[in-house]
Amino acid sequence: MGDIISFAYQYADSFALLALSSIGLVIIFGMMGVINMAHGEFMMIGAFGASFGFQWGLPLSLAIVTGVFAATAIGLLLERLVIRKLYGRLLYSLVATWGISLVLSQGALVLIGPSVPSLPNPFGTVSVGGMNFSVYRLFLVALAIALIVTLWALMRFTNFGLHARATMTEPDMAEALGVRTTRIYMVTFGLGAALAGFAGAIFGLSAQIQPTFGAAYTPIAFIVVVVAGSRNIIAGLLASALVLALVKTSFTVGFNILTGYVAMLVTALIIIRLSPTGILDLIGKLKALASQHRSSTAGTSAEETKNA
Amino acid sequence: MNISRRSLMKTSVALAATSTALAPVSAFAQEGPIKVGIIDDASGDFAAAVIPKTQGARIAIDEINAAGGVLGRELELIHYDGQSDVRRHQEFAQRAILQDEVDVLMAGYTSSEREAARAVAVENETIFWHNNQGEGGIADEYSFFTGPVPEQQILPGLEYMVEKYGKRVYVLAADYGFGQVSAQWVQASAGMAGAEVVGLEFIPLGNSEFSSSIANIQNEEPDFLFLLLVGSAQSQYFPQAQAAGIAIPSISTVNLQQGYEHKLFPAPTLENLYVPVTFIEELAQEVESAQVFVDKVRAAFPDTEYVNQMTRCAYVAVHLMAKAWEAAGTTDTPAVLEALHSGLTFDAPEGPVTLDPATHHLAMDIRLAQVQPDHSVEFVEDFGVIEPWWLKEMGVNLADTPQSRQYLPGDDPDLAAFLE
Amino acid sequence: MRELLNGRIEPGKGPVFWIVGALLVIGMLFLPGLVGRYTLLNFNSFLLMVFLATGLALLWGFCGVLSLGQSAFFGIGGYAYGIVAINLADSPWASLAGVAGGIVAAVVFAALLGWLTFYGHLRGVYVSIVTLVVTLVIESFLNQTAGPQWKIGTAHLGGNNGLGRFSGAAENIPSLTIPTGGGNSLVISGSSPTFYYVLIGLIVFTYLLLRALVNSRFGVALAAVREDPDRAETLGYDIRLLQSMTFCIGAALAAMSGLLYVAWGNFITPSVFGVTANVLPVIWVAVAGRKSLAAAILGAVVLQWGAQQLAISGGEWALIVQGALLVLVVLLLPEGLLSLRQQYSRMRDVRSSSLKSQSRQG
Repeated sequence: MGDIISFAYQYADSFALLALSSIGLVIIFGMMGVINMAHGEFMMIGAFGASFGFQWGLPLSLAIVTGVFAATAIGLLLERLVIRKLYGRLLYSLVATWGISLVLSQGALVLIGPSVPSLPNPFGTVSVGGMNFSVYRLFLVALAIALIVTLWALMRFTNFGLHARATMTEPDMAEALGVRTTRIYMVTFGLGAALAGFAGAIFGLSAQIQPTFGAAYTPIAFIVVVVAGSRNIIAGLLASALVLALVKTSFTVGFNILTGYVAMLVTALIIIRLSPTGILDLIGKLKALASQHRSSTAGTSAEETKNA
Repeated sequence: MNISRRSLMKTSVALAATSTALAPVSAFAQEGPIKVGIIDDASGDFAAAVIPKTQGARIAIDEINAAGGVLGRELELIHYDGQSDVRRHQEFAQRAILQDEVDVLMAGYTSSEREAARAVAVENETIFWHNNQGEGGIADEYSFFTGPVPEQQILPGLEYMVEKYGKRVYVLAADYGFGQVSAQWVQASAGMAGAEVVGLEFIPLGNSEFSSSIANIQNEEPDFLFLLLVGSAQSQYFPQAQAAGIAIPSISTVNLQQGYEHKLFPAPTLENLYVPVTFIEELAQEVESAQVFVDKVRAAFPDTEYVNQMTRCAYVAVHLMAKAWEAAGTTDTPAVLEALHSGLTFDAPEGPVTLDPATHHLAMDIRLAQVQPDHSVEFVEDFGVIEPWWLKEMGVNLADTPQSRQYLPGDDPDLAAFLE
Repeated sequence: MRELLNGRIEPGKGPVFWIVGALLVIGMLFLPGLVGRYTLLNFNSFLLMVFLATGLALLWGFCGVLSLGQSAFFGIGGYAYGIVAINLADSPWASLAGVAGGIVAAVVFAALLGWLTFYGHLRGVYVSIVTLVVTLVIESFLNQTAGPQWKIGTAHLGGNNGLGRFSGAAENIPSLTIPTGGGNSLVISGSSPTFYYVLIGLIVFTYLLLRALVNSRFGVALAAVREDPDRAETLGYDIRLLQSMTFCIGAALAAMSGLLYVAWGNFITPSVFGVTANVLPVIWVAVAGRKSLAAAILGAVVLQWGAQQLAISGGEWALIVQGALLVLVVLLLPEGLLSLRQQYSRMRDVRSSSLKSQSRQG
């Protein structure tokens, strides 16, 4: 029993980390197609902002809001100055955002210094079945789910969501119908930066906050987002993080951390290979296959009865 | 930081100018400065830990120049930013040695950076110093080390923990050269101390998720933990373990003295962590000369985040080289090597150190630091001066027989017996 | 042959282009006499990356596939060279066998990866991400191979410290060596003028060969795939085969750079597989102009030199300046520095094209 609880905890933990570290990117890359290599740096800005807010004497929650504001502001600024000019040439956004990531992380080092104090972690420990678990990590799980649900609602039920989806699928048509697509792009990019900054600030409760703090998250976030696919990015993100975290946790528990990491990457490769449009289509294909199989077995059994 | 560095350089240049003006004109003065080549990471992943290292070298160079230089010549610092990048270390080692023709090269934070630069130095017969603690075992004619090695840290530290807390140890080690060799040392030391390694996990570099390791540790309930975690990503172990309610005492040969995690994480994240150290800033509480050193660093670099082990190592290395050049009366490598083999001593911030001619490592004072709940540090044990004895056990005597290889614990039958 | 070299796809033709090019190459032959050992050694390290850059230009600029995993082939080429050469250390053929081993290993791996991506109908940025993931897998695997059990033949992988660097008695990766008969051999160290001349020769040869390739029917087919893969497929081109073949050629070129890098510095670590290492060649090619092999060659050399100069003299501002320059180039020069030339010719063509569009409207 203890083992099962422990596994469930690790699985949820791993899911939350994957989902939170990629949720900003799923907006920027998944919706807009911008290859944002500076994703991790937006997370870093969120963490730095939160650390500063806290040092200024703000309560922790407001400090985190400070971090989100910082990331959003820099995100919006970059969208206006740089990203906006790249919407027609998305592969080049890789080079430009790589440049931005160098400027941001090294700029933080020069202007602020090699590190800033971490944030205090107000959460305690909870004991289940004789094992101690971190409430902070459970909070991350709840947060990841809450954010995914909120995003889904935003896309599904609001005007912004409608316009955003229209802009991403048929920009010219949307424009013709009166959607101000440039504004939609800007808000979307800002939202992505805000979410990245939020994740960074939250991770800053339990990490050393340094200029290179975010760099490690960028490739992993890309993998989660590519596996999530382009059909329905929010549901895709949920499925992608759930599946990758399951593989990672299973192999980590069964073998070791390295095997877990490599198994996750290999799974991502397999999923992309089987279904370039993402995990949802793979699930769809598998379902179709299963029902085909079911109907064909049903068919043979019917024939058998007939023959009998 | 910038302004202070620049103003410091100005003063040092001014001081050097006056001292050369006062010094009698000698033939040596015509030869130009003695070049100290340094490749340290001022940017990238390791900047936070390594920036204090360069400060130590700068202070030593300025001190020596203020006192009239070496052999009537000024010391010139040639510094390259390694950018936490192995290739840059290789490139700049080539540049420093072949183009700048430095008289000594000091480079490398991680073992891979060290090896990239050291290979170039050894190939070109240039004296090389590595100035932070490492996995030990390197016996090379041209390579010298100011940081402590496993027999100075792991062995006494582990014995202390076994005596105080019990025989069951769980090891988390970074999964690369330094971590793997150090983990073998932990295994061997545990074997010799009659302790048992109940778990050994290798953590990939850059990994920051420890929930599986924490669950394993909770299952195993060891008496203490031996942590060989490297880099800021892996340091996330501490807040995660604390949040999961792990209150097991632990010991590390890496943390605190390089990455000053106790200054960056809020208290009491690192409570009850033990670290065998040569020098950390808090040593100033105990040792007069350490206080003098800290004051010196803070005066020169008011914005420095922490005066760490590497500040001390780089400072000691430059001073030892200055002594060797003085003793040799020249900067010619064979003569300088001979001088380095003469049992040089220096009053390091923590106390006197001796450069062991046989192994090219330092005999130095080691103390055991313990992190308190408020993240202040207390020194709970003084192991005294510990010799770098292991390479001698392996028959190494670099003063007599030059060689170039790295010895691993598996090469020593006494240690190999305890390895899996 | 003349038509292939002077064709229409790779920019640059006519007597002026060839004369300037030839003069440039001839001029470069005098370099070793003019500079010191270090400068030559350093310059060699820039030149040997040219193959990596041209391979990526071929793949991205001419075939429309942006690989973020070229350093996987660079690394595989380098490691394979080292492993083969260490194992055959006593033979005079060690290093040449290493060269063959490096290229073969990379091409085989590229064929597998090509099957995984192109035959999986992956396109665009998905190919980029898949190739990046593959290099990350290799990097994390190699980083932990420090233990004595990780060896291939007599070559210890050495983990993060680098091939052969962590094995007690350090195994030295041999330099480029050519047997000259009678048991003698010529050792070409990375700082020697010979290494430089070998590089110049290989670069000229590779450039001409690739130029002929992209100007051939194969090149026309690649351009068709780049501009519109679906249309190319409808027209009967086997786009997956074309992409895979180009991918393999790009891999061979990347491996060439990788093995020359190891032969040059006798050193390689898993960091050659990192994200930064993968992005660098993309930057060279993007900044110089991806639709020209010559631009890729110049871009690789000039940008490496520039980045190094910045790191030397710019101190902590180096990476900031480098990043800002990248952003500016992408914003101001959409096709890299090559667009300067195109802007010029566009200005020249502006009248005829406006006439055309007028007539179309009419």
